[in-house]
Amino acid sequence: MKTIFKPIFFSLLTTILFISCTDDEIQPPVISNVEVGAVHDEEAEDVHADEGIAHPGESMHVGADILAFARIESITVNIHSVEITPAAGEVAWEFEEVYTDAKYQVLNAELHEDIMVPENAALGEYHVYIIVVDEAGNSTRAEAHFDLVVEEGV
Amino acid sequence: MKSYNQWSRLLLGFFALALVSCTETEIDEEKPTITVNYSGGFPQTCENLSRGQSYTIKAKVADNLGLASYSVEMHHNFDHHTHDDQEGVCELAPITTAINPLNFTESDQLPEGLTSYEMLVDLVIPDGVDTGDYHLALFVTDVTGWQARTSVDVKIVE
Repeated sequence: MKTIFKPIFFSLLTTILFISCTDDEIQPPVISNVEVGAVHDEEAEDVHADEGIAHPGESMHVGADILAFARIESITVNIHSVEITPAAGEVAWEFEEVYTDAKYQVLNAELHEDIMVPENAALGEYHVYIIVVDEAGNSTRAEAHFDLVVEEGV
Repeated sequence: MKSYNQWSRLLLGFFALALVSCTETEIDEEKPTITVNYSGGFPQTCENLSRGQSYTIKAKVADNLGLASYSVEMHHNFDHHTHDDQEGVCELAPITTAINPLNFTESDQLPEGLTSYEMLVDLVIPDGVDTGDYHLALFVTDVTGWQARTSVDVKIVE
């Protein structure tokens, strides 16, 4: 009987060891609190009044909190239109930039970039991808969307 | 009885091995700190910086294990945005459109092996830049890669 128990016990122990140590495997980065839009607010009460909305010819804000388990190598912001047919003189705006600033190459980063929307960008719906790549080669993508509209009262 | 003894020895050996192989990856959970909130810290919230003048940014940084690098960045706040780590808020001028805003960035390594330090960074406000509200963002990173941030509301004046 004992001779049967030994190998079972042994293999159980080995399994436990494996489980307890594979926690060390590096998880992909986590992206949270994604904010996209023209952050304009005269009253400063609701800072995110214009969240999800941007205007041609003005700057918009892309922000997020990032927690990585190996240092962040790069953060890519990609903006592209969704089913937009631009009128004459307009463009379906596309934007992509890879940020490798020192302030982002950490474990806990706060993404904050102001991006200029071209004057001739076609109105409509746009998607934003935030892609974070860490030094271990893991990557995470977060998505957000915003509407490009003409500013009211202008 | 004898076989039990052997068995327990083996077990002990196993646990020792587990301990050794797992504690090597002990993780530094403590983030560094950064502040300008002390006498001598510069700039303080709502500080006025004059065009054509040069200043020295002074901030105290500390970490439990070791400091690694810093980054300083100044960008306009003509659109009244906020950061999650602001030291305080001052009265802002009306929203304006940026024409020639100051964009200042500087990053460097900190001396190795320090757990506390006062960092000094020279800042020149050029003559032609837009006056108005700015954010001065200060970043410090420790040897593990944790970052601490602080953001100070300042104004560029004539």
